Amino acid sequence: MQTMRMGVAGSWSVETQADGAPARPGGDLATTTDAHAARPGQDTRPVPSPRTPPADDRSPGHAGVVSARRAFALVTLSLGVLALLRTPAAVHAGEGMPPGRTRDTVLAVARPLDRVTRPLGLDRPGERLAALFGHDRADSHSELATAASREASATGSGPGGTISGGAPTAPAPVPPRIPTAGDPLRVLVTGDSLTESLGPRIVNTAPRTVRATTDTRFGTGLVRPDFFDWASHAHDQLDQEDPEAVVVALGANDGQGITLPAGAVLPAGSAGWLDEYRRRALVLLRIWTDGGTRRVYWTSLPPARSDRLDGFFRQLNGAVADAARQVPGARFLDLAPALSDHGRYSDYLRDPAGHTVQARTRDGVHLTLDGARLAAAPILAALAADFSLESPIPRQAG
Amino acid sequence: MRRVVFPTIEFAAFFLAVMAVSWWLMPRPRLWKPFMLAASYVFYGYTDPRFVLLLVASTLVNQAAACAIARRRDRRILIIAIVADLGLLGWFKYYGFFALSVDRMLDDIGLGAPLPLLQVALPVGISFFTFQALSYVIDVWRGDTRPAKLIDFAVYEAFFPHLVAGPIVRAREFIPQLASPRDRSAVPATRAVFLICGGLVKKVVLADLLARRLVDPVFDSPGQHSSVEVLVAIYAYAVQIYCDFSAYSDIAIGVALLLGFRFPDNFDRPYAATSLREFWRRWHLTLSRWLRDYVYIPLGGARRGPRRTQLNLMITMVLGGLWHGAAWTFVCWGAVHGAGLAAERSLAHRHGARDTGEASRGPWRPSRHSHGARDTGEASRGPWPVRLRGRHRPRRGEPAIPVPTEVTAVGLVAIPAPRSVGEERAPASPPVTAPALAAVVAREPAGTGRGDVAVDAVGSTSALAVGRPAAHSPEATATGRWLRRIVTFHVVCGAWVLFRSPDLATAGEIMRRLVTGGFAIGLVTPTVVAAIVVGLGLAAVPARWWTAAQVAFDRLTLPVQVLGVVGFLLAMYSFVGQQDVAPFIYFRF
Repeated sequence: MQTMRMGVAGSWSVETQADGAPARPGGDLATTTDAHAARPGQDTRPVPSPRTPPADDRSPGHAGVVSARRAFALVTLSLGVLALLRTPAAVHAGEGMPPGRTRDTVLAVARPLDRVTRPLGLDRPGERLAALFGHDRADSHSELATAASREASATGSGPGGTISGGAPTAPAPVPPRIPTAGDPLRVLVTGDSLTESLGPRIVNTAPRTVRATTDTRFGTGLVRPDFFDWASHAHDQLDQEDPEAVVVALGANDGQGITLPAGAVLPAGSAGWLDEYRRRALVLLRIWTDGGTRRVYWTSLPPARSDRLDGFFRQLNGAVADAARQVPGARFLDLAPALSDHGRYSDYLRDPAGHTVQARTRDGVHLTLDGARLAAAPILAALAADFSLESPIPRQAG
Repeated sequence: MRRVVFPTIEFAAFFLAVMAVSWWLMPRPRLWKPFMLAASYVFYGYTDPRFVLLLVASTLVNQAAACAIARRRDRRILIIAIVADLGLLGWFKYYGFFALSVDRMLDDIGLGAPLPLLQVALPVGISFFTFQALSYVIDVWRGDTRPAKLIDFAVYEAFFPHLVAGPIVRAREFIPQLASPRDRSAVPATRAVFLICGGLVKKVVLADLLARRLVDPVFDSPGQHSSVEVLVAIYAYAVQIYCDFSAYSDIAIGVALLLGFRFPDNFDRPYAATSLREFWRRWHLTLSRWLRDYVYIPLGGARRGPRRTQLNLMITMVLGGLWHGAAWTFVCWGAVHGAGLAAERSLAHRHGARDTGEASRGPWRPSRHSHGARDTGEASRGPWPVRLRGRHRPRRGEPAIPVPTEVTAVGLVAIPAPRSVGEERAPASPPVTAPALAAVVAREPAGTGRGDVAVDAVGSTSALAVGRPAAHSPEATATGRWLRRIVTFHVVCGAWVLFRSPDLATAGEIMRRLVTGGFAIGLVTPTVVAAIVVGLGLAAVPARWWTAAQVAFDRLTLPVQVLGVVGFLLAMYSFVGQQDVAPFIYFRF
């Protein structure tokens, strides 16, 4: 691809060649290379004063110099047509943005456009092409929100409701088997960007009787199934990976209001918001535990540097812990003891060996590798206890 | 945490507005400059408005220093400016690393933590704009450039196409472009479109695909992957980081072109290099020439004897590694390159004596080199390692051939500066022999020839020649070249392992796994292999094909061009499906 630039720069050099370079001796030598061969006639150029600014873009033989008006037309029309043909992608991108003016603006433009262009079939070329490359069209209906609304009707109002009617009747989870090195425990670590460092850490430090995989979905959460639907993805995960244990770290992006399918908005931090969140967590936990046949370890959101965010995280942790209590096979793991300085946020923490390590990244939310190591310990301990694993052998030296 | 990056809706909207207003205001610099400055600050402040204050402060401090230096050449002012810039960089980028390292060290000997362990937010692009500011102040000190007007310098430092991840444009390349309005009738749109579309493909298709399918899984948990997977993942990372970073540079250059500005190029088929020295003339050129001019040469370059030269190489490369981030992996990455360059140099030294004939023998070789230089615009100034040979070679009396082409290449991008600058400066470089110096002063159009250029050119001739004793028949030449290319590529790949690994332990694990992991194919799918082959193979496409493609594109009418671009991008996005574009790697630096 650099040759593209090469050619690009090559044509550039044709005109700048004349900017200030004297006729070059040895031009015949130069033409023995293909780059030079691409620039015929350069040695016959007149030689302007060395101080002349490079203003001869329109010198004969030069490729691709147009007026600013035409360049702007090319860029605008290209982007404009592309936008018309890709309105679904624009809507998707808008839905994936954090709440704010940018998101509102993008959606305010993209959604009406989408409503116009779809009936006209303008999204079809892109769709056909995508199908050609083996991509399914993203399903726009969100299972998570629908299932959560059913949950609501079964639970009735009020938080901390009883086990809902949608739950499997099995009151206790299936007792776990004892994995061996030959037939290791299948563990899936999944969630949002929090799993980016946590997943590999668990994968790398788990004992030999565990075979762990990571499935990270950046920028996702339970609040915006319109952007990424965790419910349908959880089904896919069970089909594809058949995990015996699922470790979940999810919710770092969820400190924002929930828009219900009907259009009502539940502001972040409100009681209705928290209740809806609990219901959605419940739906997911039910899918992953699969009637108690699989274990789920939903880890708490780590303390956050931002007080506002930390407040949301505490609320979300409470809601998920509440939901986990209602689902057989699900466990809520509070990582705060491992990831905080006596409950308070801290960039630097002491590891079990007594060394100070930087546990958190600059954003005050995510974990560094060292932080992930601290977080992985209680998770592995829980796995080890439930599945009678040999004690985790850290393969990594500090 | 979100920021405006090139392939996003936000940036597209921002850019369309800026492009329209910019060309509209272009004939009135008094309006255009504040507008561009404001637009760049908006771009920068989108992530965190506080960082704009930092940028403004850096601009004011450096401009004040430059003006003060121009008025009275006081070394103390220069030192204050350098300390201020490095302090800024050090505080934001390295404080945590430093404090933690001290803490660890003292902890081991049983003392408490003396430094407060703070976490400092890293402003995006601080490494890039700080280096630009440093080069400006030092160039003013050296007399290579004059202090610009405040508004010009502010626009230069904040200009949004190069603000976040380079290329590191020099003041004397950019500020002269502000002297007169850009020509509204001469926008190289085709070139810009090709650069931007090509960059998007490299980033969205090649780099992200390789990262997702192979590189990230393997580097995250090497213990679970086979030797084959690890080996291919290392190759894949070499392709990924090249495609990722050069894509950003290409898009930045293309965006700047659409606004009427020219940037130096940043890459020139790096994996075609036949030595590490050559690699650094082809990889991140704007950084390597910065290191050459402001670290390596001030350290004494190649002028203080072979031992000292090797030490200088080592120091320069380690600092270059550290520039990428505060981590031991980067330090080791730099050290590997430094050691490699030093080893190459001493090897070349050893062969040097018997190959003197070779140096003067191959006029095609300097021209081949210069073709790279020409294509990359500023390349001749970039590859500081080239200068290694300078001390030994110019005396052999053959500078006449390469110098003009090299100097021509400089003229591509560099914009005229007072000629006297070049004359003042050139004599200060001791290794230049009279003919070379004369050539520079006489032919140098851009005032950038400080003698180094001539030395570079000469040096490159001999540098290429010296290491290749077998170059007497064409067959041997080709074989030898490929052999050297393959060896160089693997050294570079080995160093990339350090660069990519989150810590040294992982790098060690990768290397161990490379020999102990077995032969399972696993993640090495045909798609991944194809992406690697395409990424490497693109370097082999003759330049004239691209030129021909651009000429053909030029001849199309506007609607057909639009359809072409739209069709291309639509196909690209359909290929990758609905997925988020991963952030550019170099945003971290």
